[in-house]
Amino acid sequence: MSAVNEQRKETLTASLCAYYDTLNRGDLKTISALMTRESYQLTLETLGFKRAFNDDGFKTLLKKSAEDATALKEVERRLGDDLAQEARAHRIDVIRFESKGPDRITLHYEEDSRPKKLYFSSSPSGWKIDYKAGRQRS
Amino acid sequence: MKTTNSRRNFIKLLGLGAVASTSTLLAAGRGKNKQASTLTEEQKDNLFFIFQEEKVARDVYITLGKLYPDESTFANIQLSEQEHILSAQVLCERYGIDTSYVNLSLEEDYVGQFELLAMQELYNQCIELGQASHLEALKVGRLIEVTDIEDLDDAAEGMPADVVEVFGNLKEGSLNHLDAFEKAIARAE
Repeated sequence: MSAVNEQRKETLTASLCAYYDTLNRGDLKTISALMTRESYQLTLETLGFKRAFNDDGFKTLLKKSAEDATALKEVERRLGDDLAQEARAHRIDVIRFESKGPDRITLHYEEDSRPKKLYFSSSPSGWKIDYKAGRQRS
Repeated sequence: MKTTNSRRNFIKLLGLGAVASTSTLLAAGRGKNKQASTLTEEQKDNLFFIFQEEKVARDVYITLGKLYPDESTFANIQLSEQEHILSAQVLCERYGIDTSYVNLSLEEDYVGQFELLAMQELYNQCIELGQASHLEALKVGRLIEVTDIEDLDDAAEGMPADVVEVFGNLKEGSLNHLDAFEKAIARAE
């Protein structure tokens, strides 16, 4: 298993911090730049689950947001407002980096002392958070 | 909520009660001695993700079952959830996907704990909604199943026959779970 170099560790740590920081501020546009498109859509769906449960209009909007830029913007606005109001603050401690193949890394960390993982995959535009990249790839 | 053909946007692969769960496991196991078809790397990623998602549904039903111990629907379905996790695990292993580092423990400290933030978020929201009332909890279960049914066909697209067969059984299971939740909702309303 190949080691993860220091520069890459810094890059991924910065992504992890930005991920939490932007969630805390409700800045979804910035989060979208940190993730693969599919992971970002999944993030919107999970963050919007509660709202969609109680609001059929939002549920429809959320469904449309995958392919409709206007719907996406509105979903981002509403969920961003919700997140900013919640102002989630967590203590994050990086534990270790695990190479999962030439183009995949798992970052192990703690969120308020609870073990967590964030998967990254390499893309032409750099290393992105990728919820599907948890599997070892040769 | 469908961004790719193969991604299941909510949880799991699910199934029905004990009888159907057993048949699902059998379906997953039937091909065990056969030569597995080939999956693309993307299909393997999707299968592994689905396997991880299984835990969300199971844990939601376990927690809601504890909140509403007189409601047998959660207890009945959570039993089959565990079996469906195993059927997803069988599929993963058949295709060489290592699942050993995913903690599926039923110990209290692990139920409701997820290493991936997206899954933790989903679990938290389901529980928050379900805490409002017995009826709302049942509606959460219904939504889980509805979403699951909607997504199962997409998840199966392009997959080999053995995977499609298991997914088909799981969809049947979800339909039965949905029916159970609908009946429980009607009783509670």
